[in-house]
Amino acid sequence: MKAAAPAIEVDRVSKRYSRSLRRGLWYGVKDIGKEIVGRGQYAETLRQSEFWALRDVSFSVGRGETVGLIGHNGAGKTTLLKLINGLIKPTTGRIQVSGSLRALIALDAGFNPILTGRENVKVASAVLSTREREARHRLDEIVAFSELGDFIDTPVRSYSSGMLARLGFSIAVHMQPDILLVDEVLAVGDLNFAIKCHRKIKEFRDNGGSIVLVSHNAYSIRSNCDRVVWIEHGVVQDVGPTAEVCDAYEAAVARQDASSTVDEYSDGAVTLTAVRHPDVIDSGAPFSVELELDVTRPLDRPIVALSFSTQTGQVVVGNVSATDGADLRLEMGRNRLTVTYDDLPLTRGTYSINVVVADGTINNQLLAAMKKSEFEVRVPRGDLGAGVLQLRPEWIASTTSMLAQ
Amino acid sequence: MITEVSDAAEQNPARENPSAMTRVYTPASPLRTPSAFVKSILRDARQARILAWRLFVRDISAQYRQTAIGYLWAAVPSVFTALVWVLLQSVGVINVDTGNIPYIAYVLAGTMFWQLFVDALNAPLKMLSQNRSMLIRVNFPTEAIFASGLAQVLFSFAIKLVVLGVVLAAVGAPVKWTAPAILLPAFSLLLIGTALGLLLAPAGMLYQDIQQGLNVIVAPLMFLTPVIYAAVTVGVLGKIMRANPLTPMFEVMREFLFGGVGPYLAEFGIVSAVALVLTAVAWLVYRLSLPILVERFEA
Repeated sequence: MKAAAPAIEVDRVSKRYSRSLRRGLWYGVKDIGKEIVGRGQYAETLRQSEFWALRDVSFSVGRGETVGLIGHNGAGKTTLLKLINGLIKPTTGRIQVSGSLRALIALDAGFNPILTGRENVKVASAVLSTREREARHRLDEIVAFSELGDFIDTPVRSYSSGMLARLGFSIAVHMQPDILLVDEVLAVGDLNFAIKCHRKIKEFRDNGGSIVLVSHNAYSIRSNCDRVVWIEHGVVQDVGPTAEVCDAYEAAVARQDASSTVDEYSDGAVTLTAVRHPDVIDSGAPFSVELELDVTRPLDRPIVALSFSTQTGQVVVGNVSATDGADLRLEMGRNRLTVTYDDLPLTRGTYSINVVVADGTINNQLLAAMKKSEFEVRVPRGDLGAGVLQLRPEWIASTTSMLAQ
Repeated sequence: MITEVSDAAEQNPARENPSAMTRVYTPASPLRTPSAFVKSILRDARQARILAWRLFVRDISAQYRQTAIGYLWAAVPSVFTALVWVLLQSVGVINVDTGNIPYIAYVLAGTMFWQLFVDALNAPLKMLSQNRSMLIRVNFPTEAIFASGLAQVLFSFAIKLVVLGVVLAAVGAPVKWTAPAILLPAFSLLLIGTALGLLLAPAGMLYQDIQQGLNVIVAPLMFLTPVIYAAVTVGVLGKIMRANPLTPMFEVMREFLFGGVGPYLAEFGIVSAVALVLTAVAWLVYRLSLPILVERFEA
């Protein structure tokens, strides 16, 4: 194979935007004027009310490579996709795209609600492809892939959002571009269709296609991408192998969330003075938490609840001393309470520790300390398992030979 | 949209292979590389044909799907306006001397051609607004949406012409053999409307004042144009009509349709030529504006 230019090369690209609508419109008029007199859009400074949506962004996407874009909402990911797609012009820098490119940015772009699915496929394929014969040939394939059945001949306005997404995805992947830009669309539809989409994308990659994938879904990024570009506030934070950058990104997300809210209530009878535990454990390893409680009056058989929650607030482990059969007594002064788990098979991520102490009934709370502390669970790199738990089942394959029958 | 195009085909004969194409996006104005700019425009125009047809079929079939009288709606506004003027004429509120031509024939031809101009004027902005969601997400030859808009205007005009033919025959209007030549002024009106509409479209996508302003101007403009009465030659109105570039179109149209020699043939030619040049300029301006419009669309 001859050495070829990368599929996409983004070189020190910046893009400025206006925060104010009115000023933005006026800048629009001025910018059009600049284009007409041949001055172009190049600028190194911001005008009033403007900000850098992207600043000095550089990376490249090789042929046959899948690169993920991660970052918070408003980090500049969609702006970057639009620049690569040639829809808008950069303020500085240069973007080179080698090969035909299709964007899966919004799947239903251009669908007319009154027309049927089939009619809309004809329009959409004409938008995406300039060769009519090719488009006509693909029509049946697209309709079959979308699994819409008889719905293909009913107006699109009666479709569910899942059906719309299925139709849109079918159209885009059947246009066979060299480069595909995918924005947050793989999460749509039911599981069966999602699997079909992933298979189709894999097929596309195996045939040498390049992909830029934008997603908030770490699983989607981890299972599809060779490399990841992490953008924050328009600036590239990190570019590198998927696992490395995703780990760094998730750690940063966790740090940010943790610093935002510590929710604690105490009526004075019980104070949580310390929570001790390992900061990082491997999934499935033993784990123990030591709580240090200062108590102003003795408590016989208090109810102590300990729970772990994800960064989105979902409680994944919760234990209550009373129902676990622990017969506790807290004396006046400083008490130490240790809770030990033989193994903690949680999936990768950062978990918060929550503690509640109650007297008599769980509702009579003397202390409630949410997100008091955090620990991180690690999973071997490259493990693609999904879900809340990281279990280690036994896999057995058995084959019934056709010949034997 | 494409700042700079280096068709690798220039060194490589695989012109049809899109994989061989490299696109480069920079902040520079495409006017810095005029030959590449013109080439990209022509290539997009070529590629836009099939898409334009698809969009035209889509819009036309969607437009009239939920109506009872369907395509006849294309002629209804002009017929209705004409009937109002016929009523005013019959009760003596206005008095237009049309010689041996029945007033209904005279005024209907006028309102139908006027509607053609107004439709062409509004089409570019209307098409851009309608296809906004596609423009901000898909890179495609956007000329197709204008071509489709023009095709819709023509389609609706064709229906008007059929209705006009039926009415002319019904009232026994003295139609001359030169009547088919009315397609020439029709084409010129289409061109003037498109040129002005396309020229205003970029600003109109940013500021809604443009659309509002157009709506305000169009109605009175009809009275300064010989749509429902013949060109006035005296007084202030005479001077305005003389200066109005639309006047020759309507006068020439009626000459072709009903006969009579007017002094407007030369002006008709000049205005048509200017409209042609203006359309080309408006097209270039639009091409330069589009990426800047797209980035403001979501604002």
